[in-house]
Amino acid sequence: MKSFLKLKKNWFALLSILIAAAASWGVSLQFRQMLAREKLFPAPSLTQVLHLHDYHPALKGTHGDTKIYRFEGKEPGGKVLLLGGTHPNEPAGYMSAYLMIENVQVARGTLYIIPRANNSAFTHTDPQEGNPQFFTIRGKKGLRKFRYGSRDTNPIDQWPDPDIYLHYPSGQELAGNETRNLNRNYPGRPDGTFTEQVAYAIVKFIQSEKIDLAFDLHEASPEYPVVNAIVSSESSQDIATEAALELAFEDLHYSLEPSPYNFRGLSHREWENYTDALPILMETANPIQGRLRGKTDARLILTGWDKMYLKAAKLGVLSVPYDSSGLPLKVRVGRHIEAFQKIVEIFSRDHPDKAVRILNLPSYSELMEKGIEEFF
Amino acid sequence: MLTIIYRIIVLFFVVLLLYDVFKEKKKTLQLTAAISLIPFVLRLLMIK
Ligand SMILES: [Zn+2]
Repeated sequence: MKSFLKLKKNWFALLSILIAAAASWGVSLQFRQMLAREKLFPAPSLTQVLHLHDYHPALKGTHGDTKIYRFEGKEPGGKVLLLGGTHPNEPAGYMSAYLMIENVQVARGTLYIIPRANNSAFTHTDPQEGNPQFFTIRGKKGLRKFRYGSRDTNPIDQWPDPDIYLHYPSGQELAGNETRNLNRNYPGRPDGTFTEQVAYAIVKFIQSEKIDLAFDLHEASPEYPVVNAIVSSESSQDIATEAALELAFEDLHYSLEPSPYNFRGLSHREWENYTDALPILMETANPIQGRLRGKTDARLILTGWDKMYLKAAKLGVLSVPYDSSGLPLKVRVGRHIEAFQKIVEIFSRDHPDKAVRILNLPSYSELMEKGIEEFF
Repeated sequence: MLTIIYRIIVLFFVVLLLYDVFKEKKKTLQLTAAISLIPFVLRLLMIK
């Protein structure tokens, strides 16, 4: 046995082990990057950073814990929540949240931003989709690297999936993998599955902070009917309608979708049922999520240009206008940020005692002119 | 508990492969054994 370690005789064995060790080290470092959170540079007006575990302590130390950025204005007013990253394969959602965190100023009321709502879903990508892991933007603060994630919670945090997912508390039946979809798990429960606990913490947060108006930002494939849409519930449909009208005057067209009564577990439905917040969900069109797409890479996230989608548009099967300019990230982020500001403005007009005044965010046209690089 | 048993099984293969790296006479087989170690080490340490 001892003779194994004799250096002279076994120098090649030791060298082989060194090579294997170096390869393991390299692979580990690369793999572990998936768990890293992007470094953000919050605007100076940031008041406080809270965590989801402040509202549900069981999440502490898990991949479900996530940061809540709080911006409080000098004047008292209402409270607005913005959620990005419910689905981390829908970059316009969390990139809008990041852009706001790094640029916003609040003059009146309070704005809360949760950019990585399902943090666990950022830590992996969907199997068999060939999706990129990251994309980069050459911003003003340097080369910024952002994560592209999955629609659902990482199976290392919640496994196995049942054959049929039963929504709590309605008992509604959905496909098994939807058990890891945050936007099917509201209102959640404190002793439920990992994703139910994340949903529970978000609902608890909305209740405890008495949020007045809450946004959930999404994207969907260009052939999906609910796209370039504002989804609202019974309590928020008035402001959503007003916003869609006013946005149409700016040539930004939205379809208005009512939150279905009987489709349970969605943010707008359950925030309506379980909190006092007026819920709004917004969708933009994102070709990398679509079934018709061709080459799937980081470029597609940023440009939204795909020759197959151009062909599909010519055949008239898309739900949105699509031409050779593609659907760049700046267009999708621009729509979210413009509509967000419009809805907050209308809410403040209708509820003067709970008004929220948000400054320093670009308009849609400003984003088109300068690009998102200017704001990162 | 299940994880511990799993890791013991993985450890068993790591030890076997390490033994093999030194035992093999041919350099190519030594290197092959060392490369086969990589996934087992990553699983043992629960990295990947
Ligand atoms: Zn979504």
